[in-house]
Amino acid sequence: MPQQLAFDAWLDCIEEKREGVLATVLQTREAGPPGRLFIPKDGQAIGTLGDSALDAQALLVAAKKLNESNPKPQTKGLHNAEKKEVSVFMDVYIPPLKLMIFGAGHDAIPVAKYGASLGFHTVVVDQRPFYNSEERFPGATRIIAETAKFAERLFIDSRTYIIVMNHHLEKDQETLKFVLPSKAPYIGVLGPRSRRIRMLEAIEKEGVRFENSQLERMYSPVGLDIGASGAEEIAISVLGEIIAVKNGHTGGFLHNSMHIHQLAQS
Amino acid sequence: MSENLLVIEAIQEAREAGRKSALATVVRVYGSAYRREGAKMLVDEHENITGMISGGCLEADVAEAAKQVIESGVPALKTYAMDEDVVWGLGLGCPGTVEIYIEPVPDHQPANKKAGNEDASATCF
Repeated sequence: MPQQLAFDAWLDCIEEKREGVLATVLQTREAGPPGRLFIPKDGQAIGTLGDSALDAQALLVAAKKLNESNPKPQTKGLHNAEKKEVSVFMDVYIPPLKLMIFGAGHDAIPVAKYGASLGFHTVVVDQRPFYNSEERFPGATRIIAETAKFAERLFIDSRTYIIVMNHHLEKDQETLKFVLPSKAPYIGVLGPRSRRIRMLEAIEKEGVRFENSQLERMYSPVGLDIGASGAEEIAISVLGEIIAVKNGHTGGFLHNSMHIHQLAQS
Repeated sequence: MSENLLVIEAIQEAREAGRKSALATVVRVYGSAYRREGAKMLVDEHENITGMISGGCLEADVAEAAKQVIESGVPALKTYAMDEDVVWGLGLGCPGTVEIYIEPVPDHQPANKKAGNEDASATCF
């Protein structure tokens, strides 16, 4: 049955870490197999919600969700051919988000460790094999590359969260020249505001200019204001900020706030 | 982020072992809830449970409902309105309404049985 194939295709795609949406009619009657449509990011949809009008709307919703940087599963009221509303649960799978850390210093170790346990696909970029080692960064993908090789070695997409922490002015500048024009939604840069200004001015002197929209993704000083001191606390502060940006929240205390979660976008 | 992956693995395991199972998914949330839409829990016929759909308030009841779904083969949509009385009565403290869809996990389609299956795997590439 095509509906059953849809479910299997969904499981396969999750195992293969490919993006896709599974639409399921929330039906509770014994009326044959539940309407189900699997919509992969690349390739053809499988199955049916039992009605071509429903299928068409589900395809549109799925395409929109797969375009978002952090899509959420959601139940939608879709309309069937008889214009009756049908509840369809749109489950979204996207592969783990990427956390790319530039700099393999001692303070990157807890960032990589907590990042991996949060479920990020964690990547550490540093040209020094002695620092960027398996022992120091278990569970992370390590890329030993100098800045000149970034373009051919690194892949950054709209689901890559970046932290620049080379502790080296020139390396940070070269890294910024590479990451600021990318699609990354977040670029955290370690160090005080004065350092940020100094680096951007130096880059500008080289004749490289960035759009305001590109600079808005640059978070510096990096992290949430929790008075973090020491590598472990700073890692929590930085990752807290990344989670907030990913979820479209502003950080800060929940104490006395009206809502814990943002209301789902329609 | 990776919690649902454990549930997916549990589905595959139950299928390979020939155990029937039901999948519970949070499909709607109003107000506060520990887990959001998309959170999953698998219950198999031996009552093995994988995953969480709340902070511990609903798991036992959903597992009970899942047993019926496994037996009948008919999906169920359960609404848990955690109003103040219920919350105070049980001391749970997660006020909000959660809808959970519980469906029987379909048997695996043998790879060589249906011609259509080729299309199914083809879309993943």
